[in-house]
Amino acid sequence: MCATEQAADDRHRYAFRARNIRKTLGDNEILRGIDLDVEPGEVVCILGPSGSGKSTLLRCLNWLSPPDDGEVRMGGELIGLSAATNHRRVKLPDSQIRRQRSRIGMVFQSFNLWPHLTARQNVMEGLISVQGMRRDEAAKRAEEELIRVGLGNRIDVWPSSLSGGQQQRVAIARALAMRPELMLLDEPTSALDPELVGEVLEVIQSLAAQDTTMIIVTHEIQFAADVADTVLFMDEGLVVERGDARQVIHAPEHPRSARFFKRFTDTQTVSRQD
Amino acid sequence: MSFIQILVANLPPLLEGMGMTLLLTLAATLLSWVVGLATLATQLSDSPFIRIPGRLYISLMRGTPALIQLFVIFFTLPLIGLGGLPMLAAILALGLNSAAYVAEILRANTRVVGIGQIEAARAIGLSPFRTWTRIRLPQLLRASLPALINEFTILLKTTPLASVVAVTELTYAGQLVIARTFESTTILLATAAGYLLIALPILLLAQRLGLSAFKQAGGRA
Amino acid sequence: MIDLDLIVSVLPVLAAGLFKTVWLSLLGAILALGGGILIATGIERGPHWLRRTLSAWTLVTLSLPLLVLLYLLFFVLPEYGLTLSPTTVGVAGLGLYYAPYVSQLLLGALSAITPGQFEACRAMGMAPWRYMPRLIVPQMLPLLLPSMTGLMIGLIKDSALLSIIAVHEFMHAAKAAISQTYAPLEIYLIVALAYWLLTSLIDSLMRRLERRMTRHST
Repeated sequence: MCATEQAADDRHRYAFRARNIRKTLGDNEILRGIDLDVEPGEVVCILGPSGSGKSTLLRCLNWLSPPDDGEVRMGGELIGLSAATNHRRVKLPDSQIRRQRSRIGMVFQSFNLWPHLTARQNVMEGLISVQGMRRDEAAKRAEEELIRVGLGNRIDVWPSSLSGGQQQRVAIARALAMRPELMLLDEPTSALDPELVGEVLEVIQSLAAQDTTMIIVTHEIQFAADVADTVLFMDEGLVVERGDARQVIHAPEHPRSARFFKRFTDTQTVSRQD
Repeated sequence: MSFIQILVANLPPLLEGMGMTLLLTLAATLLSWVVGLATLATQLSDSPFIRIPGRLYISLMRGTPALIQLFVIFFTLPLIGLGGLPMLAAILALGLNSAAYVAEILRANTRVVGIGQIEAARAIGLSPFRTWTRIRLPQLLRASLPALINEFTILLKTTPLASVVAVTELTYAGQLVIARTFESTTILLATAAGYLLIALPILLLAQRLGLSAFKQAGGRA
Repeated sequence: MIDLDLIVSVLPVLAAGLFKTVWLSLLGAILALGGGILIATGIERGPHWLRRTLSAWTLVTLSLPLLVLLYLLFFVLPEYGLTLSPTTVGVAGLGLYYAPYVSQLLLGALSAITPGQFEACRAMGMAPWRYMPRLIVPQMLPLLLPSMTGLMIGLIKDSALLSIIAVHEFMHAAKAAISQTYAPLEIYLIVALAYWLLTSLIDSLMRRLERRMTRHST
């Protein structure tokens, strides 16, 4: 096998795959069989109307909210379930699921920083508690990560003294510090005031430029068009259309996605006319 | 003799005791509402000479055991010619103690009537007195109702204190029966059941009205 | 009139009683805290039947007067072979009586923590035994402090009941002082004052602690 074939093989081996994810909450079938593929270094954006199940899907991927059916594989390894199943779903022991989760970074819409810890301590916590790093090493890495997201002058500040945009950047640093194989971002800018959205999008963009593997649920369609490699359009628990980001957004094929993106492209053409 | 037999044989004094407990609770509650409202009034006054004694009263009643308050009143009454009336001492002690808590409950709920409503009343020309009686007080009482019901149950739980000055409420009645029959287990369990019988329905009612029944806790014995 | 010398002569007895009261109250409080944590954990994470049993038990203790509980422990247990000293009964009674209240406060404070906080901990792969004490409980403390103080003050006041089952605490010492001085009103007023100072002290201490804790919460 030559070098490029080997490399491609390795890439496939380290890919992140979800198959037939189903989840019902109460009477609602929120996810009705979702498939997902993410290659290392790829950025996937999931777009769609509210209630389409986007956030639920994200939480299924790191088994935070286990799906009722379907499987998720990270680098070939089955997440959340014991590999030795046939037709029964056997849960992995909690400690193993936690270890798997520590290889996936998650950023939340409401940041979820720990209010009684400084920015640095927030970033350090996972390193010490989960990865068993020494305090001084963790402190150093935390400092590096915070500088990376542009908060070098806010390292020992309490979250309550930070703006929403700054808090979200700390949250991103916190997830990145763990050196995850995959980053999940759940509407990272939806809870931010408009003028603070930009600084967070910039950070995410720089992550994309550094080949960080990411799955982003977002409302920011222009941002998705700029940063994503692949876009998934979800509606009512199903993936309606998927493909190259620019193509899905600007030239959607399915009528439902067309209707969704029309509003966006309309405003785009309007603004381009002045 | 079995549990049931003992119970039935001694039911009359126990039921009398329960009746006395209820009487005590109701009388003390009435007193607590009157004194509580008056104390609330002191807290809303502009004059510190009225406010501070009120504040002191509340602080003292809530900062000392009810048992001591009972003893102090019990030993003070003879000095004003009202000796030999343990029932009176009990009603006064429990009522005055509860009044401080009632005052705090009412005070916490005065915010229910926002400044906007008061302004509207003044704009129409309503006198302060009328504003109080027709606008503020009714809403205040309605908002305080769950907490006041809870306070009633708490007062009920302080009535056993009266047994210490030989008032024949339920606990004391039970003790007298035990002294006669030596059946402590049966009678004490019956006593406990007696209190549960009165308190539980009220608690469930309060829960239905939306108050977490655990809001106020202890320190009332 | 009041004979000051007589009063002063009984001060040591009273002081010893006060010390005992504080000590027993502390023990009772620790028991109540432990019991409260157990009950709260049982209600929060336990099987369905446990949750219902504990909730029913909580309702019962809410309706039961402390004095009756103390009598039950003091008079009924010996008939089943368990004779405890008055002090043990007193402390156990205080603990049993207050544990449900503590558990309700804990559950209330727990529910006040946004679910997102738990998500962040779990998403990172942290185990509950790791993140509860380090990340969740510190956020609960400012919420718990005022109400816990109220409970503590209540417990100290309720400890006066222990004198009825002959525990040698403050009230009991007061009775001893009265039998020496024949001045019930004066003694009880002094004792009342002491309780008042004690509870006021705790109240102001806790309020200062609360102010320090909420320095940097969002």
